[in-house]
Amino acid sequence: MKKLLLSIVTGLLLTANTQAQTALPILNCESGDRKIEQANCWGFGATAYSNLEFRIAGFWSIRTNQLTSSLTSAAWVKTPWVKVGSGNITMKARLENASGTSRGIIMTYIPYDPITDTIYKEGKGTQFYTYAFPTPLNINVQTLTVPIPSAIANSSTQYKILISFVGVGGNSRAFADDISIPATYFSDPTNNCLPLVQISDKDGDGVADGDDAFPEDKEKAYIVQIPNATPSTLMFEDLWPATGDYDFNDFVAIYQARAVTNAENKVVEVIITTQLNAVGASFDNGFAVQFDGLNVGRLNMVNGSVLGSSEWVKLNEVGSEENQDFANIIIFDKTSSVLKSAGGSGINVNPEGPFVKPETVEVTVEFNTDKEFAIEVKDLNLNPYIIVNGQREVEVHLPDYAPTNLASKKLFGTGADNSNPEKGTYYKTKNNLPFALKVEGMLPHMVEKQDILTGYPKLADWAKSEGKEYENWYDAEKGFRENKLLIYLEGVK
Amino acid sequence: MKKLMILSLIAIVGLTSCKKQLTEKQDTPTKNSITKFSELKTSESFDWKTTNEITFKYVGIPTIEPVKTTLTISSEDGKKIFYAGNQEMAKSFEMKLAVPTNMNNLVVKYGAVSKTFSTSLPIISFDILPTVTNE
Repeated sequence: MKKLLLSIVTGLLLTANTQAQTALPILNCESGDRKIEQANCWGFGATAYSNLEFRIAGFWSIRTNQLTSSLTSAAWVKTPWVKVGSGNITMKARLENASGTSRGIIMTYIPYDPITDTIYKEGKGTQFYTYAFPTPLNINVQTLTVPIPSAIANSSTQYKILISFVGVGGNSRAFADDISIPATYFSDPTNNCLPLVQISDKDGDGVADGDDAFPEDKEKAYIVQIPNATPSTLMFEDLWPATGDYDFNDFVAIYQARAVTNAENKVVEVIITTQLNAVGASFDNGFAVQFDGLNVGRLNMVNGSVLGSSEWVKLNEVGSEENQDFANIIIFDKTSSVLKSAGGSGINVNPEGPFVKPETVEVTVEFNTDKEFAIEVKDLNLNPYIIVNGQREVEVHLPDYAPTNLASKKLFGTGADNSNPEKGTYYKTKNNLPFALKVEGMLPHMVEKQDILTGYPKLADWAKSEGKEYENWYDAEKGFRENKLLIYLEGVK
Repeated sequence: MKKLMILSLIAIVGLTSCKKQLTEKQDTPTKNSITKFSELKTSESFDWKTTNEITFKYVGIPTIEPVKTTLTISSEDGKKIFYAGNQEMAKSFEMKLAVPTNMNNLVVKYGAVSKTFSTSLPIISFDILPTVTNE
């Protein structure tokens, strides 16, 4: 019980931002690009990095604009938010030439003020050190050693140290380098460089509760769309290798796949959601998804497949299909296992009805997150396809998606098919016409026997222009749809 | 005379049919007359995808100490999350996105930094380097 309480308290107190307490490094400018220091919350005003001959140490130093102002806001360098320690601030400085009446350096500490309206939450500064370059002015390198003021030494609150360069007369600039401040870095570069704050992270996985889709489950953190499986409408013709009537309604489903990942960005599971909307076919087709390039060893378990009594379905111990090089998930073995006909020919393809409520099948594929097997979202490339009328060797895929190794290769190049495995072209005719389409969004599908171009006339323009015109041919814009030839089921738009 | 009548009739029918076509064109201003999918012909390189492939690059920046926070890539309304991950600020990252052709912009967020990118770009390069100003 004591242990449980301790772990709960630890979980609640852990900061989501995993930053440790690190000493503020010496600013030596050797990155050569002050933007890198700015991204780490240093500030620069009228100062740049320079590798001119007057640089002080290494290849780069800070170089100010011409110093002709006594204002501390004219030319400066400012630290990130830090917790100041004790000891001395040290730095090197020199002038570029001897032109001018006076030149100096002023140091100021700035407290954190959460109430102020400014984006950086800086309070009123207190000057604690002023240095005057020796006169007559010269170009010798000066080493400054400045004790940390007792008012801020070892303080538990955050400060910034502002180093200003001032001058009167002439045109000399200053160079500065190797700025060393005994302090602990306490800025959050991901949060406008404000001071680090504790963020609630109940499950202690390192992802803030506000970003965590599973704030109480340390095994899961994010849900993301898989790149080629965003919510879309799959529409198949099922007479391949012959062409059909091109109403693309033999099999119509709203389909998407999302990945659940952990705090290490490894895929924990993939959720494939398939809403079977219509069946404009006499064939009883199955539906499956291949994870191209991923072998079965990556998987832990498959749950949720709807499988009737089809003899062709042969699964391995994790629930994916046997004898496949890549992981294949049977979503359902036949449409009749999911949607029952309400009478008449086809399901949900006749405008007069009767209509059947679309059914959704959700399949969860659990992945192995062990280091040697784990994958990331970018490794997921889903390849959905239908299995025609219980003939396991007959598959229809989206254009240029490869068949699985259970598909018969003998059918390629027969009928209207012009697949060429050597060139990596699949499931297209000689005129490059597909046997299936995947269109973004949840779209209405065609009435039975109506050519898809009659329902979506801009599809012709899009295809003829090879994607250059009417990229959004499927949208519900004026002139883009012939609604009387389309069937709108619940949820489609 | 008979010939003339036939020619006139053809001309009238032709004009009527032209007028009809014009009217139809205004109702549904489609550029070509193909109404059968089987009559279409496209080149082999046309992939029939209604998504554009975009390469996303997160450009890492050296940090004083390890910093990790959430990187998200989403639609402008935030409803479609194309990617979310716990991203180390110093570590570069790259992935391919499939963005619907009817989506104009993508929003990339890293902590408090948010930038919007046009989807017409084949490569999106995101970093949190500030625009250099004198504040």
